[in-house]
Amino acid sequence: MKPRIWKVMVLTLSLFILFTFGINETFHYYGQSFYTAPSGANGTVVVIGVGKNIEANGRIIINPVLANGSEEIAFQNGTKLTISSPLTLSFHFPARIPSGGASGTFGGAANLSLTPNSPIDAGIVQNIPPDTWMNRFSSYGQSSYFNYYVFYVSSYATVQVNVVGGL
Amino acid sequence: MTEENRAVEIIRDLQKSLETSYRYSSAGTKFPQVFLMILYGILGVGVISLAANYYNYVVVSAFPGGVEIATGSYINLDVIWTLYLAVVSILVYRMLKKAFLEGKGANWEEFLKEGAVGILRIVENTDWEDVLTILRKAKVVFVVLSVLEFTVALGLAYVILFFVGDLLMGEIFSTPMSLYTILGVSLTVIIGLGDKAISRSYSELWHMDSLVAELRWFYLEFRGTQF
Repeated sequence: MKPRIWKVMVLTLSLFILFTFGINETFHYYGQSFYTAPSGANGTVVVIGVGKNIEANGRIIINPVLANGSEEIAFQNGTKLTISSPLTLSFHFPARIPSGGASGTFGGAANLSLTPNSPIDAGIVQNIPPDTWMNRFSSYGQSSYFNYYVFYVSSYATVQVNVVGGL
Repeated sequence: MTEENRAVEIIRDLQKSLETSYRYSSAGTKFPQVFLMILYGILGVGVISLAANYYNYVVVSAFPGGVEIATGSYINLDVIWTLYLAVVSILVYRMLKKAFLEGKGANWEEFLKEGAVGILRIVENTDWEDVLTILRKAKVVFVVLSVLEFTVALGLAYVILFFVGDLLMGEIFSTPMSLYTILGVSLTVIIGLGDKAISRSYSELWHMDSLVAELRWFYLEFRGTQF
């Protein structure tokens, strides 16, 4: 093999290695179970945050505990569902490229820990009145650097959140 | 044994040593290809990781250490890495071994049958400058191959001890074992089991050094002598 060809191949392979390992490093995984519970007439808000620097696919499985009657789920767009069996929700957040800008941690009311290096997190906030929750969590829809999926659970349930993100 | 026979035996020993050195030198000619193969291997790791990550992204798996093949069933990526790196190591080994076996030194048997006259013909006809260059190259190749061999042995021990440790600590005591601990134990095992190989490598290296020194002395003497 001619030295020049060898050098070109080494350089090309090195660049490909850099590229593939770089993209691999953008992948982030998140999996967590939450337990929601009512407090009088108040319920629980679940917040899932994902950085806009990555594409993300998410799956939420809401498993209602029906000892106390029906379970109501409400979303930020005003949709309300009453469920009596496990509900699976899927969501997709597109990436915004170039995404730069976010450099610190952003948590909001759900006390999330979102940074460019750890761009996926979820949390719950309990004891939230059903009629005011949307106003209280509206700030989550205004972030330039993070996408959010927010919903309200009225009663007892286990909420399994899985999110995988990457370029 | 006569002086002539003794001289013939010494040259025959030299021929054997040079043959080994030529073999190492021949293996060294494959280093550029080996280097490329290692780069291809690393790129393969990246591509497999990317495929696994993308698949996990599509199916929304929460387990980065594996690939979900059915709900709740995963193939552990460690198993895939082990098999993949084993294949790459075998390919590199076969390439180097083939080159090593193909390496041929000078064949002086015909000359040696003639005794002292044959030795003089060997001394006159051999390009000693070239022999010294090949010896120096062989020494570097030998060191690199030893490092490669040690790395492969360490990797093999690490993989075996990883699974043994996982079985012992993980399954029985439900406690994960530190990877540094496994690396430390692997090093101890390799040094302990490979002590003979290490001392053999050391003596071979020392032998090569001596051979280079003696040949250099001989070459300088030879250049100053007129037959």
